[in-house]
Amino acid sequence: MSNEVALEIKNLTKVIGRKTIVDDLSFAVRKGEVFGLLGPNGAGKTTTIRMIVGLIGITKGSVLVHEVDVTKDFESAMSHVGAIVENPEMYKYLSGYQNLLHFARMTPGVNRARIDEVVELVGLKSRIHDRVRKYSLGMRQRLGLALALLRDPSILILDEPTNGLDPAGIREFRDHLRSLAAQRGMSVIVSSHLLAEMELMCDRVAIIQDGKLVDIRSINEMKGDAPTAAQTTRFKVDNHELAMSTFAKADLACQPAPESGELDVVLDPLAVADVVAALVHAGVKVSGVRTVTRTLEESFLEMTGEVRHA
Amino acid sequence: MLKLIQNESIKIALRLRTWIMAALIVVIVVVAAIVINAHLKPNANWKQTLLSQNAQAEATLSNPHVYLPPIDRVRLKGQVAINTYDIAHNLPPGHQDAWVFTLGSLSVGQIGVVFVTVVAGDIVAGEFASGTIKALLTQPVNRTRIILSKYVSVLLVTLAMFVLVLVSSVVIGGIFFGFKGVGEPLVFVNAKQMVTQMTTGSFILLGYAFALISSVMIVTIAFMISAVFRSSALAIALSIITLFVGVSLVQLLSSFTWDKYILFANTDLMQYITGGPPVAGMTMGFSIVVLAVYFIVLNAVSWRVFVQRDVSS
Ligand SMILES: Nc1ncnc2c1ncn2[C@@H]1O[C@H](COP(=O)(O)OP(=O)(O)OP(=O)(O)O)[C@@H](O)[C@H]1O
Ligand SMILES: [Mg+2]
Repeated sequence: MSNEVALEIKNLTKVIGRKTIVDDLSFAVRKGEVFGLLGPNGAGKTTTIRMIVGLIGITKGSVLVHEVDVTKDFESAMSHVGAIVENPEMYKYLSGYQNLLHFARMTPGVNRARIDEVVELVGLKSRIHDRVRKYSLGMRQRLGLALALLRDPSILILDEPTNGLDPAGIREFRDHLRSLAAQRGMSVIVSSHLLAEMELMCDRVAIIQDGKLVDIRSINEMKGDAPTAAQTTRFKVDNHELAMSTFAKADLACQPAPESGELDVVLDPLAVADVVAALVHAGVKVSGVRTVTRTLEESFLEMTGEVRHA
Repeated sequence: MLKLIQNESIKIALRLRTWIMAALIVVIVVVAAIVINAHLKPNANWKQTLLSQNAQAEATLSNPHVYLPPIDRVRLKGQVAINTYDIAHNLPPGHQDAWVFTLGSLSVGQIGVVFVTVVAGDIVAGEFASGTIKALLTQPVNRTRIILSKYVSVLLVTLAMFVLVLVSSVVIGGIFFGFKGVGEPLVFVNAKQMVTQMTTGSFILLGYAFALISSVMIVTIAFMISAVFRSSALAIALSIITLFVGVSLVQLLSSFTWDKYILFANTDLMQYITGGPPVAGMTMGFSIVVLAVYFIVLNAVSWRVFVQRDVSS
């Protein structure tokens, strides 16, 4: 990932009627980065994406694609962008292939070889000549992705892309995105309210609520898994009383884990071995030790103020 | 731009309904030929019949006790003049050949206009209804080019419809009635209420060309409503209603001086060749200017709304 900026959004604002739906949003997406737009339903993710791709007007602010203003030179800006906004809708009376051919005619330089390539990539080869009417939701998602990739964009924008994919499909899709970003230097912008998904896909995430930017974080710093920092470590032991007194002797505060009756202790990863030794020495049978990373969900809920009461 | 027009044309051509409508047009032409053929009975005494018809008409026209609206008076006078011409030139009335039949098929073109309106009313609204508008508008093609390609495709479909009516009428008319009367002149009452003649071929071309112009106006209305309201049903219904109500409206309002500025007082340019305009003093040049103004305004509205519109939902 370089520091070159592919897409820049400056003070983006959308007012419809008297309602401010997107409020002074600014962020920059780097080349080769998978960037997430994360927010609860109605946060303004889709509205933001619609402004980026020119489907709706911009009330205030600007969108720059490789420094080209989308509202000033739409055609040259969009030639770098591939997008799916909400569900990928296609012409149902045409086959998948005819759909791709239709959109290929709208971009100079996209030929049949390129169509075959993207069809192969999204794994739709066996059904590409069927009418879209007969496609399942997952197949339509794949066709949508093929369409977005057709002109080999340097910026890929996907709104809730895993909607309708099965778990295997989601994993495959994630791998696609990661490799497009890593190998081709493509910048990918995905929106989702599924937090776990973002955690697995993105390098950085912008958290949006009520149309406002709450924060931009890199996934690593959100999860707080810098290797030397203290982490919550979960011990599975047979004798709780004994284990708790052992922790107390080592000056470690411990807490029962929420569900299974295990014990959580916050400690330096380097100290784990010593603590286990102490437990064993005291006669506690340790049947499991694992670190508990703070999930993005926890960070996210904390940030958007919807605090969960444990 | 050519590729965009190709795209739009393919989308029209790959829909089943397009071919059903085309087939219907051909079927209607065939049925018309069969019906006309069944009613063709040569009358050996046709001169006698025409002469008595004329005598009756003259009597009606000269009888001060019979009230005749001016339009009917003109029509009756014309009929007398045409009958006299037919007798003098030994042309039996009700004569049919491929050319006369093709001229009559212009009314099939009126049904064809309804079909083309369906295409025009759906071409923008349909993309919104199916959600494909999002994919269409996120390509590196600006909206002006998209809407222009759609409009041009609608015009091409309109033209294709008239070509279909014309060609199928000539072929089917030829099969049923033969091609013998090509050079025969056509006798009609012109806009100045005089009996005139023109070769049937020229009359056909003129008739089809003018029908095409008036259809373009209807189709442009459908396209505009489609672009503005994003509803195919509304666009199709409203423009077909205007198609049928428009002309009556012009007659209804004929006492107002501004009646001549109504679109439908001007759509049928044939009125300057035969029959005469609905409001005295109108000229073909006037109508062409009025049509051009409507054409520009309707298209400007379609374009403006389409280019500015927020595409959400
Ligand atoms: N055309 C519109 N007119 C009025 N309000 C709108 C319009 N479009 C969106 N909104 C409102 O703007 C807000 C943001 O909508 P948006 O679709 O951008 O949310 P989102 O973050 O994509 O949500 P989701 O996760 O449900 O997809 C919502 O409250 C919505 O009701
Ligand atoms: Mg959304």
